[in-house]
Amino acid sequence: MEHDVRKSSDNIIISSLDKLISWARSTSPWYFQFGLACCAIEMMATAASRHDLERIGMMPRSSPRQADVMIVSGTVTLKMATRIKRLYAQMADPKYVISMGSCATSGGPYWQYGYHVLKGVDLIIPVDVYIPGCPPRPESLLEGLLKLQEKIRHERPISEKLK
Amino acid sequence: MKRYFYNIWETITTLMIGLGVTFGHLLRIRKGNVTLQYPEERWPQPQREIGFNLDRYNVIRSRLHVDIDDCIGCLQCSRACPVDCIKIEFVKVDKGLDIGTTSNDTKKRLLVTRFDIDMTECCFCNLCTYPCPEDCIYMTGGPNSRKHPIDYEYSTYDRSDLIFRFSNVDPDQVARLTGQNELKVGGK
Repeated sequence: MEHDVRKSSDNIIISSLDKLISWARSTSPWYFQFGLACCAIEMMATAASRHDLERIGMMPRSSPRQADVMIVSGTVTLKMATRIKRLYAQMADPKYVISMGSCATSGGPYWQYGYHVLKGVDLIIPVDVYIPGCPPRPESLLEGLLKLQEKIRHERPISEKLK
Repeated sequence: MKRYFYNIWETITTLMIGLGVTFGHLLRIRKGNVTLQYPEERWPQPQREIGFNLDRYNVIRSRLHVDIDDCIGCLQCSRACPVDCIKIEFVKVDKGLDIGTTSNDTKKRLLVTRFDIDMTECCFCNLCTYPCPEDCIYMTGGPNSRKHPIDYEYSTYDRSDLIFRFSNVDPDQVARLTGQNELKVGGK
């Protein structure tokens, strides 16, 4: 029998399960604890007690297998790009990437003459939120993370699976 | 047997002591803690003073903004930019045609058809703001909060949304104001 997509997504059990799962995912996006350059210092400042990242449910995990969010914080050199791709492949599946700062987004100050810099991390892995700044202030990072939570909250994982 | 129940009792009492400490902190949450409740309150943006004529040259690191009506297309900011993230193109209007004056009463002679600032490439050095003769390019907030409120949280889902296009000239206006036979296009 052919499966009706609209019917399954209108189902009250599936839609409420969808909401529950996306709410659970959005309120505990554990991030992968690694830093590449000076943006990592701002990320540490954001995780510290003044702008507490655990307020919004984010907790650093030292292993990519346990992390949901990868914050690419800093200049992605060509040598590091292969490592980033491998680390992204090691993360478990509902995974999100935040490109933090000018360098990770487009190469930043190295966009023209940087012979050693990847011109944007979105060339190798899909990016969800781009945060501008050089480096971004902790408030900017927090705003980007709240935007990512908003994005996760609007996802409907089961309905998309059933499609 | 007695030992078994004593262990259970000890577990419960020590758990209550620990949770009591946590609950006490929960009650004192607004007294003397350092954590900022982010969307409601923010840490103030520091203004960097760079040493000369402080009233004018106080700088701040936030989004670049251009009052395009004041721009005369002199390319000074584009030349000052160390990373070339400001792209300007202009056309020369015919002699005798009036395209208005800036707020400093300078007569505009060039029509700025493209004024793009790629904020993903910007390194927030403020070097473009000093040479501007009309003070029309500036970082928002801080010493310029009179002109534009501060804006440093503008993360996007799409990279191309971070390229800010300030020019408000439409092609019809260009065709009307410039002679078709002597169209001079310049820029960097």
